Amino acid sequence: MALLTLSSPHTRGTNRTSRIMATVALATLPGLAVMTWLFGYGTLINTALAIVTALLSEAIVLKMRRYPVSFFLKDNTALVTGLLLGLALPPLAPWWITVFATAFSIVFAKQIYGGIGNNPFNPAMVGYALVLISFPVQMTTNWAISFQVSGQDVASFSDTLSMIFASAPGMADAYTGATPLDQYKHLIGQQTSEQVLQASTFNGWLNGGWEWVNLAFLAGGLFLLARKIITWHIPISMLVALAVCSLVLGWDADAYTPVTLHMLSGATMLGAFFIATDPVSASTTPTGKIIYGAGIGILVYLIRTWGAYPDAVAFAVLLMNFTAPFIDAYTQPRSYGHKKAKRGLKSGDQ
Amino acid sequence: MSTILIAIIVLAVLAAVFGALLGFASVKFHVEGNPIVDQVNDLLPQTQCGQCGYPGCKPYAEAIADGDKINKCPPGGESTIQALADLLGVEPEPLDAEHGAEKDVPLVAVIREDECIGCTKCIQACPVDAILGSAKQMHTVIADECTGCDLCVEPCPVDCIDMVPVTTDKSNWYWQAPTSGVELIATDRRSVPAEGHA
Amino acid sequence: MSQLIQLFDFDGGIHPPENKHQSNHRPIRKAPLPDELVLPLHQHIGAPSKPVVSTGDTVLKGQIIAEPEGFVSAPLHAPTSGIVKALELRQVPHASGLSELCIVIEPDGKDTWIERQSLRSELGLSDADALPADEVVERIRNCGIAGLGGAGFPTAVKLHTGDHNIDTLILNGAECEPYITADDMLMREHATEVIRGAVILQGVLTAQRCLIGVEDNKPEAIEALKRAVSDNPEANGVLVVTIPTKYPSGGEKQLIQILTGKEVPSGGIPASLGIVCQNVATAAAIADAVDHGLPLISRITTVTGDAVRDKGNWEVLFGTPVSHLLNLSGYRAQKRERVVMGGPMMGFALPTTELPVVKTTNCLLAPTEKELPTNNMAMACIRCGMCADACPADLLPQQLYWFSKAQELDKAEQHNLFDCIECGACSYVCPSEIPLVQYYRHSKGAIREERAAAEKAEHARIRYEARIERQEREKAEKEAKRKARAEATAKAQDAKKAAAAKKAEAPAADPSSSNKPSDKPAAAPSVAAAGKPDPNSLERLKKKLDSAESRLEKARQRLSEAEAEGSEKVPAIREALEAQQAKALEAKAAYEAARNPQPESPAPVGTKPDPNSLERLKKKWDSAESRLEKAKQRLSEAEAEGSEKVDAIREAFETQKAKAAETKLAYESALNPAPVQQATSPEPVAEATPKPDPQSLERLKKKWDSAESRLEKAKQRLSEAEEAGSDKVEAIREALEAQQAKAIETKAAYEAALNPKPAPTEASEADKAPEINNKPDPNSPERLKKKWDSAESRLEKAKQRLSEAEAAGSDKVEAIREAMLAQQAKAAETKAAYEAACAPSLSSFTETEESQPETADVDPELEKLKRKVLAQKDRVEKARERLNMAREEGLGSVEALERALNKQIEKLADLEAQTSSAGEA
Repeated sequence: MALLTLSSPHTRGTNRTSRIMATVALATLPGLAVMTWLFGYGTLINTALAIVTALLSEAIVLKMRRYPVSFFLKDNTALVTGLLLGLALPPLAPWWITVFATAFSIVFAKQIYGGIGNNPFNPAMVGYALVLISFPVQMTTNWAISFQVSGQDVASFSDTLSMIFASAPGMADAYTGATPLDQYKHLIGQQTSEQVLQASTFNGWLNGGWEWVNLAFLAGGLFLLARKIITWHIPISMLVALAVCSLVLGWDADAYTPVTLHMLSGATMLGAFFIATDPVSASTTPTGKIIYGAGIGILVYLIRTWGAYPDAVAFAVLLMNFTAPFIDAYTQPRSYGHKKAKRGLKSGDQ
Repeated sequence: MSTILIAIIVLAVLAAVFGALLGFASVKFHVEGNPIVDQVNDLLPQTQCGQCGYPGCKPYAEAIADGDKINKCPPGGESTIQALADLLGVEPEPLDAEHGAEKDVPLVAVIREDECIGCTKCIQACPVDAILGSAKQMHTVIADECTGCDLCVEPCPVDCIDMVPVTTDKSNWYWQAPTSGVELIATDRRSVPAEGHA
Repeated sequence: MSQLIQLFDFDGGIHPPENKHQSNHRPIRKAPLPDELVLPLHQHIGAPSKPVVSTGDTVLKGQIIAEPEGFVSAPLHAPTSGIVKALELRQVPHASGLSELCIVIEPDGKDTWIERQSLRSELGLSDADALPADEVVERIRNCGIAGLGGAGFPTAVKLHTGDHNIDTLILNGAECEPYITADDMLMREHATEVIRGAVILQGVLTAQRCLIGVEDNKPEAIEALKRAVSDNPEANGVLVVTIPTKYPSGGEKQLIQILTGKEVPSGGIPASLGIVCQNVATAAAIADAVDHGLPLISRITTVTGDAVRDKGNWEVLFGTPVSHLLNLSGYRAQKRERVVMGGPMMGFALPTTELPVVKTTNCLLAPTEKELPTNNMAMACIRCGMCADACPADLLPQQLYWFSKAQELDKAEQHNLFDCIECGACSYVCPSEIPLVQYYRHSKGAIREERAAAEKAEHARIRYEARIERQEREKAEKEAKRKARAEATAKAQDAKKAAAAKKAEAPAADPSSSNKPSDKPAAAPSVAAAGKPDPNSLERLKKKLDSAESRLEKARQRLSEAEAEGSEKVPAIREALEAQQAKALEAKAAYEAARNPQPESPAPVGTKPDPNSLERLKKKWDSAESRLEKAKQRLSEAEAEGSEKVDAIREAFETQKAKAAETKLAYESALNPAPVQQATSPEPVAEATPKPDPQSLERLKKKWDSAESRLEKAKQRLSEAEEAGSDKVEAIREALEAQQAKAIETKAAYEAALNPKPAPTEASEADKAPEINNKPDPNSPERLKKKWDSAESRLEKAKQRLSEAEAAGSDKVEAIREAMLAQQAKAAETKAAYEAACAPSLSSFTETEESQPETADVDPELEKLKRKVLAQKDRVEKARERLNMAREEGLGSVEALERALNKQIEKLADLEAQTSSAGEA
């Protein structure tokens, strides 16, 4: 009578990767809804396009690698990558940018490294950074102007479709412009803070509508925290670092972007709760996570303030991805029964 | 002229200062280095089997320190070669087949005692004195001391020594690494793993 | 009673479904006796115990059947009365599924106890007296009590706290693993014993307080314990502490942290914190052992899981088969059948249900697939860090996993792999269902194995070095002894010389001015005008000749040995041989020169025929010197190389030295007394001597005699060596054989000289010359014939010896056989030489010269192989014989012998194939 002999434990919790990823996807829904409300159907269309591209490219690569396709697709990681990328890209970005970014992030940033769990960089951000560098014009000027802020009529679904897929040149211009972060940075040199806020992008709104986007993502992030999908370390340290930097260095709203704009504009909340917390490419020790998050916050501020790009979450995350293994090596927690944590690299390690 | 002089003087002073510093450091932070032979010897498996062509591990360690190849130790196998390569900062080479192949399981010599004629030849051959017995008395191997070098097999006139794999018991058994699971796929492979039930 | 102590929390931990309600509703039942009890000797941590019963013994319940072996060990008691059915290897309950020695008892059903009494009555103490701690510990050890919580560490060992001052005793009643309720039920039903055990332990350890930690999901047990504490007047230091339910609070380290806030240092023991931790069941067993003399023969085991109908707790005798318990509980086999010994978190799945319950079996869990699904295929680690959050030891499980997977064991160790308690919390929370614990277990095992290998290597190195040192020491000792002997003999010789000189002085009033005790031949002749040839000098020369010859023989032998071995020393040895040959020739010439003239002119001029002419002596000395030089060089070379031959070479060197000294002495003495005469006519004589020399019978006789005596000596030496078990035996035997051959030869020569009177010169020539020097003159057919004959006779003898040895079953057979084979080869060679010489050729000289090397050259490899084949055939024969004998006698070794035979046959086939292929080539 041969019985099954497996190593203990013989029981499992209910955590599953697919479930975690599904929860993450669920937590983005408020943000997605707000963005759709503000920017029209473009967000929805691009997100759907990114998800489909992500799943497709993942399936193709898995097939080529002779991996079980459905088994891996069901872990929902490609879905989340596509979703996050769709949320990060400009709502009216031409379809090929979305497809290119997503396919690149899945194929090159994820599968080429060995698939799930093995990618050293956040795949979505790799794709985003690639198109940001390659197509700066489309990426920085194709940001839809909030219909709610500008008071324009929401572009119809078919119009949006043609703007995205046919790249109708004239039509999109009416709906696009620089983001509030971009605008503020460029105008504050010549104008006072009050004048800047009168600009069309803001039109009296605190952050030109972006405050609602960020609050929605903050809500989603809190949901993830509550569900213990993520820990507080990275988002909190990142937000605190960003806030401290902007308060200390940018206290003068007439010279620098104010803290409110930093915290509640651009991809701040999306980055803090959904992108920087990508476990695969982030630091894993508790202390390490705090350092990692703070690093992202500081980098975001530096690049936003003195860099050429209007937003900086992608670059900051990617830069900190580089440092994650190093941070981990030096932030091992003190284990039970040890007086001091063993830290650093063992001599002989490279 | 004076600039050149100044330059020379400055350089000389600098040289003297740094030289003194270096000299001081070399005395102050002098590390009692483990001689390379001992370090090499520590990496060798100490079976004293002589398969490398030297009469023991120490002589081979000395030879390595004198520039002999590091791939002559079959009992140590690839891991020893790797360790030696790391220590000496040379490229690891594949095991030299001339000296024998790496055994996949540790062996131990066992004397079939009813056949032993007590010739003491194996006792003389054993490099670690792991065989007990006296002339015309039955001999036996102290399994714990045996390094599995099989040097005793050849001299035995009645071929009563077997090299058997070391037995596994509760004290040295341990779990195999898990083999099932997608996460083990390091590179692309031919066979498609069974679909999971996730 | 409200809680009086502050509780702490440990990091991590999980809350798996408890699943305890299924089995904690019914009281503990006593399991009926099974058909047999299987008791593994290794149920505890430490060394296995040693059986003290044998098959067929009748044992009583509670009787010791195995005693502890070493300090960390525990005895084993018969769980019931019955008969020891077997002492054999049985599969034991261990994750490995390996077999170990077990005692199998067949119960007689009577359950008869041995006599037992409480410690108090055994020591004759009254109830008021305190129990002496060491007696209690001894009792605990004798009763075989080992930790019943799961690890099975011998309790008595744990109570030897050494220098540590224990202030807190912790009883572990947490039982944090899901499903298990054995301790829960024990605490409910046997709370009194638990508290009594706590009191005893507290007394032994002189601990101020005793904390019993129980998870708050066992309110009934807590209630019962508290009642028992208040009922026991001695238990005023005992405190029942309710702790929050969280897995793994029942881990020793975690419980200590919860109750005291202290952490057990990594690699340390709780005693270093002043804490000793014991399981509640162990405490109850201790109470039984001390108060009632009950050895540990049973325990409470939970049988649960949806695959059994009747879940609950049983009091089970050790050795009871798991299947017996399962059947009692209404077990229904499942499709994916699993039976876990222990809990779902840390237990191990049994390979079969035919395994006994042992001291550490706290639970048998037979889950259905639906209840505890087996793992899905593990997915990739996404480094989510949930494992790190769950880890009670604050490790980084995902890092450990990466290192383990990549076999980076040193890094895993650096990340404190060995602080992992294998609680399984990380695996439990892992969203990718990675069997993390198995990875850790594997890595730990691999690291331990590596450590053991390193330790063994170090040990081997030490032993090897010790051996080398010992060998060197022995060599030095031998050398010293040899030197001492040489000195002694030299002294003796000196003394003899002195005596002889005195003698010579007295009668002849030797005019020689030499005041040295010179009996050197050069001096003698001048005195020995009396007519008889100077016996002294003659004898000396004779001796010299003999020794030279024997040395020559030896050298030859060495050469052939070296050649057979393919040693690199061959050329050197050959050189030595040639030198020896030359010397022998010289010595012979000298001897004969000295001897020759005497019979012809009994009263010679005295000085004239002196063979030891100054020149000759000088030459001799010179050559001796040069040889000495050579020997010295060789010796230093050998020493530098560390060759094993050093000894032999040194010996040779020493003799050379002695010889050189001798010749020098001879030369000097010759120089001194008669410087003039020597110049006259020694040389022609010396040169003339060898040729016309008619071999006198006497000479031959003498030679024979001396050969005989040497043979005798050699035999004696051999037997001595054999007695001493010296490893030189082989060499000595060979030398003996050579001596034997020589004796035969000389005898033959003697007889030949005695019988065929005609042509004595020829015979003697033929006899003589080759003996001096084989190589330059392998000539006449007669001689060759003789050689052949003698070789044949030697062969015959060798064969006889071999068969004798075989009959006697001597272990030397092999060696003898080899010698015989060598003889055979020699005989064949000599025969060939003889035949070649007999053949039409006149110039036998060249022919033999040619043919000899040819036969040798034909193919030494082939020759060797053939010889090997012969030897192998013999071995096969021998093995077959042995096998037959064993078969006839029905020995147990038949199988082994069969194997050996097959092996030998295989080898033979191999060799034959080699030979044929070599032959073709």
